Amino acid sequence: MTNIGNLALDRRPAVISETARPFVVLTRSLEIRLVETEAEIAAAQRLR
Amino acid sequence: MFFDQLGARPTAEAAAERRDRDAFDTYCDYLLVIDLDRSDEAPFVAGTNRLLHRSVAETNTGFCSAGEFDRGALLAKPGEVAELGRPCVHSDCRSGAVMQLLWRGIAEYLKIYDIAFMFGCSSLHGTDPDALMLALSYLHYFQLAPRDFRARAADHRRIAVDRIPLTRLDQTAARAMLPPLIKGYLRVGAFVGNGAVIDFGFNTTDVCIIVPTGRITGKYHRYYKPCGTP
Repeated sequence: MTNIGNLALDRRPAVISETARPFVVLTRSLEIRLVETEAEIAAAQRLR
Repeated sequence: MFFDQLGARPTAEAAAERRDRDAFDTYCDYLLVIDLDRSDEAPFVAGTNRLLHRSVAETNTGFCSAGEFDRGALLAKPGEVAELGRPCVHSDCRSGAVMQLLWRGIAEYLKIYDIAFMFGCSSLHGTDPDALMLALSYLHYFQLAPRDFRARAADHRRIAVDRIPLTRLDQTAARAMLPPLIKGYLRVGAFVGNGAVIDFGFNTTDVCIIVPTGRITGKYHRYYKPCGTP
């Protein structure tokens, strides 16, 4: 896993950092979670 | 999206890479809404925004909104705060579900990090103050933050937002002009700062949105359970 800037993943609570599980899953296959990799940051930047 | 759909002017690097990025990205957390059905090896990002903590901003790049708004009153408050920025929903996914999910994620994030309030620039499309004056005046008269939460547009960039007298303001027409994102902020109890600034690079006119956390978390936690909870 990538350490994103100063927000090291170990600062994040276990519910997020240990499993990388989403906060919420909805029907229609949508989920939300914090970014974990540089590739995901790039994907967000391409959407922007 | 900012460049192709909203007319923002990319830097040469951004145009070549087809990516919007800036110096603040390194220090931000990102929330991603991912559509699993449309993902393969790479996630299909249906929506995103980024959050920057005060404790991180103060030891690195500062806040992104610093060039546009004086947030002295806000930042004088103790405790953790976060700046919300770069909200974006994929053009195929604008039914509302993605934005709802982003709000739920934001609510959870604010709770996890014990953030007292968040703020950030929010944009109206276009750079003609006259064309936007109805919406700007409405925000000024009806959504202005209490004095102790009131950010103020930087003097050298500030445009007047009260040129339509209150007595002549068509509230219904004004609300209809507001972008969905600003309407969403107002629905969760957001205030706006005093004044607005024009961002020619992004082809927008920006206001400062301020949201006390309790107004969000109370609304969204009623409907929300984290994954894995019974």
